[in-house]
Amino acid sequence: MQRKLAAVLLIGGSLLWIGLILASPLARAQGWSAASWIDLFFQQICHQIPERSFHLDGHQLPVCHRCLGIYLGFLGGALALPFWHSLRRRLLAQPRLLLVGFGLMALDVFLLPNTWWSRLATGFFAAFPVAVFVEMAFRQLLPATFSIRQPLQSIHARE
Amino acid sequence: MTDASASKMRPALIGGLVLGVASGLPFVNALNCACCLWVVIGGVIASYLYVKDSTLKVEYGDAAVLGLFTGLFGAIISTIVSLPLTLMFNIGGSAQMDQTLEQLRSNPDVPPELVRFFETLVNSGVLSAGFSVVGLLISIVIFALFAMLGAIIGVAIFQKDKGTAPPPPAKTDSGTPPPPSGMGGTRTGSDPGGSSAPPGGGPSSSGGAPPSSGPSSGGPPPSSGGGTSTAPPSSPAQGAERPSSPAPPSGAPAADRPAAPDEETDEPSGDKPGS
Repeated sequence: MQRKLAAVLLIGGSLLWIGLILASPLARAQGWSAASWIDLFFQQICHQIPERSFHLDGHQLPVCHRCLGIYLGFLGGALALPFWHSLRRRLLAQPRLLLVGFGLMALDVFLLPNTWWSRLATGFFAAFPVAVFVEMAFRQLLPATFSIRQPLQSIHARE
Repeated sequence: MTDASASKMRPALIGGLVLGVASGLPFVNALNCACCLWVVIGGVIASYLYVKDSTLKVEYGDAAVLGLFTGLFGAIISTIVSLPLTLMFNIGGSAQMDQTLEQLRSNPDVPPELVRFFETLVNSGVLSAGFSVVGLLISIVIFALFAMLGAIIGVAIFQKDKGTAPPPPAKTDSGTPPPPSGMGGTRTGSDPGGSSAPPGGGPSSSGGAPPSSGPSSGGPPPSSGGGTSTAPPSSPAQGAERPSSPAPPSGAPAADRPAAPDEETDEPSGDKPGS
């Protein structure tokens, strides 16, 4: 139960976050003032340089290529890693493998002449494995709240 | 939670201080434009200090709580640091305020008194303070999220192969029967993956295997945390999320084993649809 709940929380939160990002240009296209508040929210997180951001419907997304890649990678990890058992086990056994993705991203930031797709891709691969650790954290935190279910399930199992 | 949970405050305060001061200072806080890098760094620092001070293996759940505290402290410190600058130089939210003021001025339906009142508010800095309060609320959310991520990443990177929290004494070891109702007689709050299975014995107990013998007792593997396995973990502390709780097959001490956290939680059998 904790596993499913943690996955639902993680995927739902990621979808909400990305939905907020996509909502900004759509709201701006409709002329809604909510767009500027969304932009203000993400202004704390991202530089929002127009040349380094995607545009949707002619309006800029409130985060840059790399940030979008990071969020998409996190969502991708949350969706894929529960089923990708070999990679999941390997990541949990060797957590420092995270540094590979971060290293690639740092390489792209500091050394390579990066392009939009390299920013998107390195962000994606840096965040992809992080999801498994966040899911583990959620699973370890959830039982304290939902422990009442376990004894109840146990009773049902006996019956 | 491990026994080191009592010492979360100090690392959280130090991490929060670093990220709060760095995020509150103009120009220095520009690094936050890179996916809240200062905030993530603050979480990493907090988890580094926490892992360093901890005698036991730090769990990711602990790191998440640590990161939440770090982000909370950081948001408060950042607001305290930036508030005088905001009031002095009218930095925060000035663009939005000017934009709103322009809209009010250009709107013929708005009475001029209201526009003047708004201008007074803007010039007095009251609205800047209001923006700071709103900024604090936004910062708390963002900082808590990203510091939590940083702390979890930090634990993943800095984690050493330490021992784990000793499992609570198994009552069934002394030959006493397991709790009859499965209401968690020997189960602790730190047994998240204990699932539905009653500790020490259950409907499909593995043939009276000794409770402390772990998965090597020939019984079925422990639950995958899905809460649906009928095979109970043999030890009360063998939660799916407690990485090294299961006794090693060879009887070696847990700390000597290679870090193999949660492999038991990832058995495909636990992910069967409908399970």
